[in-house]
Amino acid sequence: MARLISKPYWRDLLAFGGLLGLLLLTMVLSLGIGAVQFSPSEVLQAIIQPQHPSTNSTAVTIVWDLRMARMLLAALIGAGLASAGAAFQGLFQNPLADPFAIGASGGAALGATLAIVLQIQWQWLGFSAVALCAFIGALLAVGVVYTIAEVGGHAPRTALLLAGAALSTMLSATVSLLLLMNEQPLYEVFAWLLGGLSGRSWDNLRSSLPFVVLGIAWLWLLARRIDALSCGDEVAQSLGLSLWRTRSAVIAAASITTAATVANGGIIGFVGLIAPHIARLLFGANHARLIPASGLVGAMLLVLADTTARTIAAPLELPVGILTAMLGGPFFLYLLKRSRGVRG
Amino acid sequence: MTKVRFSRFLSVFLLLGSLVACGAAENGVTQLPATTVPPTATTDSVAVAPTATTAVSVTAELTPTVVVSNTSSSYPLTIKDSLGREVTLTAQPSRIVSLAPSNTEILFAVGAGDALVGVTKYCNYPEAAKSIDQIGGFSAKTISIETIVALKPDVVFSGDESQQTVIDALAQANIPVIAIKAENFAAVYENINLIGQATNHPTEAAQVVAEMQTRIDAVTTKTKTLAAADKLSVFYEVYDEPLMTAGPQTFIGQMVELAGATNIFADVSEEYPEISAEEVVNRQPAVIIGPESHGDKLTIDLIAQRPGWSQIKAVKDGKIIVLNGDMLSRPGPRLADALEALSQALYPELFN
Repeated sequence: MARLISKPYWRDLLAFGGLLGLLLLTMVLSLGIGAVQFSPSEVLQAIIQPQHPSTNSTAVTIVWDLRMARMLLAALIGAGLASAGAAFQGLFQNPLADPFAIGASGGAALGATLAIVLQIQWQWLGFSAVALCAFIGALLAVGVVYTIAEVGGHAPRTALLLAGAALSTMLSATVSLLLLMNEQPLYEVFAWLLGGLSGRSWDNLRSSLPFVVLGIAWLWLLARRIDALSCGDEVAQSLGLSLWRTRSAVIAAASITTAATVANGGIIGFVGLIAPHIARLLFGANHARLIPASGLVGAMLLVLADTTARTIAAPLELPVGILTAMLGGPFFLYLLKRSRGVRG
Repeated sequence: MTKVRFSRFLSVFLLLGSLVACGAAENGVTQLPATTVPPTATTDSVAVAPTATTAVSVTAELTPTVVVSNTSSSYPLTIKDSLGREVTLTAQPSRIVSLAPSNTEILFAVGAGDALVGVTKYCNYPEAAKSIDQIGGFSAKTISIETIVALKPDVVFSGDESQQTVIDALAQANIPVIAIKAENFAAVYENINLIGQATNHPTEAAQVVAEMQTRIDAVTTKTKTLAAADKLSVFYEVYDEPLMTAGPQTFIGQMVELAGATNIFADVSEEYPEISAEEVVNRQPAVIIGPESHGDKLTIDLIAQRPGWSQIKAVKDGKIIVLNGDMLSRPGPRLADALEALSQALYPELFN
């Protein structure tokens, strides 16, 4: 059962401060790890004084040109997926809900595949063609699911989840069909489907940033209402909430966030499922705390996972989605075993 | 999500099917046939010692699985193919289907091109191959068994284990399948002889092999003289998104070595691994080479725009070489052309 009693304010500050500090430390360490290793002090010097004569110029190039944008994008995507996951777990009262629960991944996959297969060249708001099509695909899929599940100005949870599952299956099948008919781009699509941040740079970060930040902020503003929703429809209605408006607002905010992360990162699984559970263990189930805390945890997890992805098999790169699933799966099962009955 | 994951499994199989032993051959980009360089007249036939870095012997002892008689094959003929399967042909095949672009090139080279009645959609060389009926793509899932059966072939030359399901299905239909697989130059010579033998063109096959060996020897004789300090380090870019290179066991990798250069990723064990851009910057290749298939993305300006790549020696010096990827990656007669093109592009001063 959700804890609705707030802890003292200063403890929150301390806990968030600690989490933020840990995230920053992870980021600095991540910037130092790779083909060439730098100590945290070298990294900090390269960041703070890139022009200083005593600064190692190789470190400046590698940290600023090759690692910084990708690391920040990992943090952004992790934060976005985790916040959206936390919101969906609350909204659906389902601890297994993740950002892709209502079709965003299938839609994004089809969008990206079409862009790759048809060699679409549109660009918009700094999104590359593939990213843009994935973004639009994710939003369209969620829109379709919502339209199907809606009955009399109200979309029941179960209907949403079922419609999401059905549409995802259909869209994945379409992707497979497209790939069978067009072998050449197979590897490109496959790499995209597994999720990865290989070769991502400042442009990718710039295009995702506004949407993810906006989405997380919006979710945070909706936090009190998600609290009410996660206690069940009767409770929410008795508090005077419009179920339909609240639910559609949460879905819109979470889907914009998810779509913007998928656009530049592909389908990275598990972060959006696990991070909220970790955050809930640390901060309780109050969404005003849970959403930003999930974001911080998610950012940290994905920065860690991506650092592992680019170093564990060096000089090879692994798709980060494989790692999040392989590392996240067992961890999630352990959490499940340890705290059966935890409700989102 | 479970469904999404299932389809990922599906794509894994698809992917393996399409990547094994074909690499750049899987690009469907129509390319101009490379101009064939006339064989250099040389009486030099020194066996090339394997370079220290690869365990590949170029002119390894030819051990043809069938005894090559000089004039013609006698039928019924039993052949042991690349997968160790024994296949019996009752007569000289007059209707042949090829399931790999490299097989198609070999068949034309040995003079059996006229008998080809079915090819893959990637069989774009020689020109005549484009007008033959297509039976599908290269990966097993995209090959139409029904189309092959309808063509009533006397023999099918398939690719390697990645087409096992097709091989099995055709065997069920009593169509002889000869699987062809090559991991190094010696195996290619063997396959050319084997295909020549099976199609009753043993003499032409022996000529093709002899000419290839002569031309390859002519190149390696020159590139062997390079001092260690003059050897160029090469980054071969198979694909840009995701960033992929060719490992030392691939034909591209072997060719880079034979051309007297060093592959900056000679330490990987995979055929076509995804590698990190950071490693490319860190390993500072002197030359970047890539196939024409994504040549529009392999210009000096575009490469220099990639984050951090402007710091790479090859980019600073403007040393970007674009070659015909099919020629480089297909284990067939054009390997000699590919090696000549590659070594001349790398060391023009050696070949003037």
